[in-house]
Amino acid sequence: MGSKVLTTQALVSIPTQRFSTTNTFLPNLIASFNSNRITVSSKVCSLQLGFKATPLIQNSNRRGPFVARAESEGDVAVSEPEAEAEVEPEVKRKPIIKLGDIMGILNKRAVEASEKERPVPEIRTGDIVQIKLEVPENRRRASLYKGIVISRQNAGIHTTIRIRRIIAGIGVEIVFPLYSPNIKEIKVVGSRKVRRARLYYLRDKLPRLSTFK
Amino acid sequence: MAQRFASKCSTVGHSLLGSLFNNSSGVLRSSHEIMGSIGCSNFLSQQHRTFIQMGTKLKVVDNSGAKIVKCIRANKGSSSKGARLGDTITASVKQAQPRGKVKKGEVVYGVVVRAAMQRGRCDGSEIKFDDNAVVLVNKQGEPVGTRVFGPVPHELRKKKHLKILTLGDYIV
Repeated sequence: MGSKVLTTQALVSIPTQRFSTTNTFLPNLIASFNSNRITVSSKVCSLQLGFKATPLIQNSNRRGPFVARAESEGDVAVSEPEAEAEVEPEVKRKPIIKLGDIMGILNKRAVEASEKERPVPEIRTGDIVQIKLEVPENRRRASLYKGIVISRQNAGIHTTIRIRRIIAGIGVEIVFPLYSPNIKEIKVVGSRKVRRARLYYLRDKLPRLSTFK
Repeated sequence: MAQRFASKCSTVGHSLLGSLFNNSSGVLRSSHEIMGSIGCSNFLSQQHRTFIQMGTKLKVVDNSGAKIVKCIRANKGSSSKGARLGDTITASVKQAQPRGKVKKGEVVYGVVVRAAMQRGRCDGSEIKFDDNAVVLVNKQGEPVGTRVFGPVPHELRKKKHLKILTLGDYIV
């Protein structure tokens, strides 16, 4: 995948070099350009290469008349086809997707897909939330989980919130993935003023502070 | 640092340190917090909970008569490192009520219904409790007592401890 990206980058850069240099460099570049074009067309299988092949073919067709025009006329002629040919690849060129961006893009897509099915409200640390969960393990509908959000970890699709509550005298903390399809509903029922992103101090405090009716 | 030392010790099998770190002792935790404020990464200032292993003291949350048991062995179902939420352990009764079904010094089996170590579920969520607790059972897995206090997780359903699930007052 990486090598294909590199060749497309090289291909896109070559036309710009070609038009800005003088005539003496042209034959060399044309020769190298030809060879590159041949290799690309043999590998045409990705979407990027598919649409890029057409403007390159058009450029090669125009190369003949361009050379003649450059020798006969002045700078004006040189700039005209340059502008035309430049505009075409500029308009059709998509931003090149680098290897490091792929996970971010996949995460964003997954989050959008999950948001479409069930929108997730804005949840911050210190909110008191109510979550309706439907787990195949528990079979029957809607276990209800209420509690204060003591932390939020952002990790794309696995963004989680940690909910703390005192149930039957014992403190329970549950970590929920926000974009899980098991969660049927998240509702923010209140908010508490906090000056921290992680409220782990609540574990040491009185149970009264973590109790929610 | 002290936590890693403790985890190394517990793999060797020193019961003393294991029980020290599993019971939340205020002295040790405050020293962790001091270390955390000096320059260690943030997660070190919180306790890193581990398995229930030999020497762990657990609360008994049924009316079988025992109050505190000490784990002798994490039974076959659990990992080699120790027992987790939902596993069975062999334990010795350390403290018991005067008139109960079990007496002090007896060797009993128990099902861990609350563990301070988080247990992951198959949907990506995790659950952890504030303390370690067991319900005493017999060899067949039936509870010795008739009532269970406190919340119980629904990991017990998969482990086929349905009787304990129905006896509990709150299924988390």
